[in-house]
Amino acid sequence: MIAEEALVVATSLRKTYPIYGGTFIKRRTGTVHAVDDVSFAIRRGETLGLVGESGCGKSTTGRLLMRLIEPDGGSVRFDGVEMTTLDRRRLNEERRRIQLMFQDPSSAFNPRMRVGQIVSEPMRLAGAPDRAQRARVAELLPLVGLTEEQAERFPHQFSGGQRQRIGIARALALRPEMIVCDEPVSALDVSIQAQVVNLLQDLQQQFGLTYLFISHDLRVVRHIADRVAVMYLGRIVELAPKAELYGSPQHPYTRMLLSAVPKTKPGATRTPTAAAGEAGPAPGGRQGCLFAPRCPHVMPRCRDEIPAFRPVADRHSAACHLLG
Amino acid sequence: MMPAALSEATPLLSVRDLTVRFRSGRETVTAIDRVSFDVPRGRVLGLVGESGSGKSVTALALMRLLSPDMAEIAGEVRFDGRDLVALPEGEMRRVRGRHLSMIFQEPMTSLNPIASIGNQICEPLRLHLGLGRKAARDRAAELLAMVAIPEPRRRLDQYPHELSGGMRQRVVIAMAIACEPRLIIADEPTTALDVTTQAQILDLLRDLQSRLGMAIVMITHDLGVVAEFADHVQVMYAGRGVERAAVRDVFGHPRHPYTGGLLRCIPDFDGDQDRLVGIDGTVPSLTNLPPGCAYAPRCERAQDDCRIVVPDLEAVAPAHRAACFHPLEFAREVSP
Repeated sequence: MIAEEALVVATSLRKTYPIYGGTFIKRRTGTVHAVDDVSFAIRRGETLGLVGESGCGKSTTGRLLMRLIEPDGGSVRFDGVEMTTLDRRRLNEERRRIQLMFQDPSSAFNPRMRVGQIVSEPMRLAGAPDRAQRARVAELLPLVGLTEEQAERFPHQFSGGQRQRIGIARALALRPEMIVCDEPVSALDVSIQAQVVNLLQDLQQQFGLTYLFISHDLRVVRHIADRVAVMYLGRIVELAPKAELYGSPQHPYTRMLLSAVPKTKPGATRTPTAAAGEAGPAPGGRQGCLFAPRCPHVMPRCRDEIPAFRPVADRHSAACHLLG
Repeated sequence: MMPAALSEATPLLSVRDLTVRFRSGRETVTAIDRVSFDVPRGRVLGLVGESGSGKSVTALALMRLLSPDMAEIAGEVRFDGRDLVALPEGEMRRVRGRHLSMIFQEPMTSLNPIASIGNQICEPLRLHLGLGRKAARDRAAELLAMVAIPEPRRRLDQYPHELSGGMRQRVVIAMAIACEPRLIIADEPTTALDVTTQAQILDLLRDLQSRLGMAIVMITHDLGVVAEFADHVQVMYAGRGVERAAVRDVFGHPRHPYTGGLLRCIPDFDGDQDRLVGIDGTVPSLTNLPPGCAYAPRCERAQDDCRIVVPDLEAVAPAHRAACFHPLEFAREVSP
């Protein structure tokens, strides 16, 4: 990816957390590598899907991108501006251009605030006058399929799908260029999921939005993303345009992940036991390939040499010794 | 024990007009309304629906786990010849965990955090099968090996918090199959798990089911899990059964517009589609159901009759039932 056309470029992002142990005296007994040397770029108007199983670091990556969590290393350039070294004031300004959408918006809403206040809260914090806030709310609610009158209601008066629409309206309030969508449809029923996915796509078209779409749902990501990155235990193991990634997955983990998705055509069954083991800390530490303990093709080299993340085809990269 | 010598043709479980009403203050809410289905011996029925469809209430009613103070249960649940709805609680306790057991979505809620894995698996063995301490422990280790837990002997002395989510669900399954029940009710058994773990648990359940000849009622919102796992499917909407047939027919030729709509909502995994086709509107609240078909307000095929009368679940083809006055044409192929 050429840096000029990218809206956001993350390079070697790193975040670790200490583990404390001990019965009486707590002391540091280890380190969790939540995000470990993660690099990617997203073009303006593009949707990058970020998939992986729980604990793989996909949500942490999204938060590092917005500097909601301070990285331990690496850089994030947003539209040419280095985010990791900005002071508070400048950071708050830049951060208006990137918004976050949560899985369960109601946990992010104040239940005693009316929908209108919830949607306009980012504007209030940015110091916009009341009139401008009200006008923007009147504009936003119809945009996400709600009515202007619903601004007076409270979040509990809405269904899950409608609450997610309120979350989208709030994310749009400051006219961001990019939205980090963290499992935006995972808590919704399938019939409602489709409505929200369609809405996100319409808004992207209308405003030229850029999405980082974090999800464990490989079907939804296949539908909405342009390119997809697969994470495993804090590292990106494969990144490719979606047709490539789903059509000819190269990394053994990607293959395992895709083969585990239940097919909705009866008769077209999975190959049993294609998926084996569970994600967990590699017994040999982090110097080798982290997938080695579960990998059906593991070689001696995989256990002590980190596979480089390198191109395997046009715009398609993977980190596996088999592909070197 | 169970009356023996029932003919093979009699279904193991036969549910007729099962209705559950919850009382809350002066109001009564009908959570499930005249639900009927059969589960043949050794087969899998998928019970599928969205939130509020009544699938979990159905499971709890079958297990008689709803408190009589709160819930009023009507209808018939014939299990191996006996009506569980009418069974005295003492006798029900001898059925539950012995011939009929349940797997819940969240393993941590069905495991006791302060009892060792071994003690928890031994409990049904000692209670129902009358095994002694040593025999129960040996059998518990065997069961852990059956659900593919490595080092089963050592695990017996561990506690739930020491295991991963997938391992905990394996322990729950080991407890459920401990007395080799004839029927397992699995309520979203893989929903809390990652997809690669889900695949392993489904493989395990399928393997155990064929080895032990158990029947399973698989309750899920995931159409993929149903397509893969079930022989027959009952689709539920707002507390009522709306379609019932062999899995191939439900997925290949859905007749109820809700089933058809649900299948179209799942993003394609093979082809390419520009846009998902969602279902407009939302699932109605059970306290405020429309007078006729509960799906009518969201249905593109709804006519005047749908808004007045609740359609019965009637045959639309041999062995295929749908509760709809204006079902989809048979020729219609929906390929998700």
